[in-house]
Amino acid sequence: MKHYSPLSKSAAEFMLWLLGRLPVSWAQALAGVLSAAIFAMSAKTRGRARNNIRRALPELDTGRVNALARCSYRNIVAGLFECLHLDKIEMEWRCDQATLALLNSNRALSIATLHMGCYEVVPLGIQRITGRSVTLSKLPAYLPSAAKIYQQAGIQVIDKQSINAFLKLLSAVTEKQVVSLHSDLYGSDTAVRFFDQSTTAPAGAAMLSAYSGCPLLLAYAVRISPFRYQLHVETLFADAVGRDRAKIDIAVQAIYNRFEQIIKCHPQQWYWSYNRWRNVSVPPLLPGNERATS
Amino acid sequence: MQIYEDVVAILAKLLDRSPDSLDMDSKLLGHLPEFDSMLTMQLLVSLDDHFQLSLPMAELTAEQFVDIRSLCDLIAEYSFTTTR
Repeated sequence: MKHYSPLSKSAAEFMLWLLGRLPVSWAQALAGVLSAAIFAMSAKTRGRARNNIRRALPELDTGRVNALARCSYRNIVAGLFECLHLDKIEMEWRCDQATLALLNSNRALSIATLHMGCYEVVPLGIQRITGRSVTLSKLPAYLPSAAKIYQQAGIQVIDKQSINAFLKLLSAVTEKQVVSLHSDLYGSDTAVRFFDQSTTAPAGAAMLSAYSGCPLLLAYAVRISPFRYQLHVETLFADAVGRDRAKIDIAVQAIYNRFEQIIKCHPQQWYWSYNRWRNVSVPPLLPGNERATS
Repeated sequence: MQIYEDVVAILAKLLDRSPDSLDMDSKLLGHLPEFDSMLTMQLLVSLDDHFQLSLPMAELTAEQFVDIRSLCDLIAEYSFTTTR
């Protein structure tokens, strides 16, 4: 594990403290300025965002790819700032009666989610409705107090980097908690087709459902305005995923099929900061009315 | 000894290795890159099915999966608990 000096940890803690105390309107303005500056200055950030969009939506021209990349990055930075004020986030619920009954059933649930807007809105919404929300997050070693953001919202967070993270997740579902896991990132558990390309994906949400026998749900949060989200929750497998490998693979593909539809509906909201298709070459840029910027 | 042999057979199959390449001190969780969440779950399912036990998830720790010896100790302990 990388080690950080006490000074750099203190500086990071101070920044987090300061950002958490900024008036909401200032935080919003700062997020807008920062996202524009980082996007303009960091070829890596710009390139990754553009490449993921080009792989997912190869029919878009350069201008549209650039505009989407900029917009999704702005949304994600704004969402990151909103994470520091989880108590101020308002949300509208969208789910059918059967899913609502599951959420109110006191059963363990496994929820697959994806990186849209504020990354923690799904576990936050689940906490507000069930009071037993658990999630997995890569807590930065240089920012020990990051866990407090979750704790203050009542969400139990498991550090993704801990050696027994998966055992803790299994423990959570056997104790009837509701576990939300980001599932759209690159992972090596299982092969999937994603936007008509072969890649691999994490299978954690499906595995939790398979092992514990709990239903598998899917949830995503659409940012409709600052601090306001629409939270969608759907039931994918009401009777749990089968325990054998083939059934887990089918479940992960079902998750990804739905992710594709959601991303196509809200392309300006999906942002993944690393190369999502590591094994696929980037398609050539289509001509557009805006020059390529990286 | 039977637990050890059965655990080695299960792990050899899951890891796609020869049973001869594994022994009591073979390192697992945190040491083998292929010992990921998928393999952990497959191992738990196999142990549940083979030994007819349901491991107490809330009490499991990473240390119990660190090598084959600790895994055998876990099964022996839980088997004793459930049969006495």
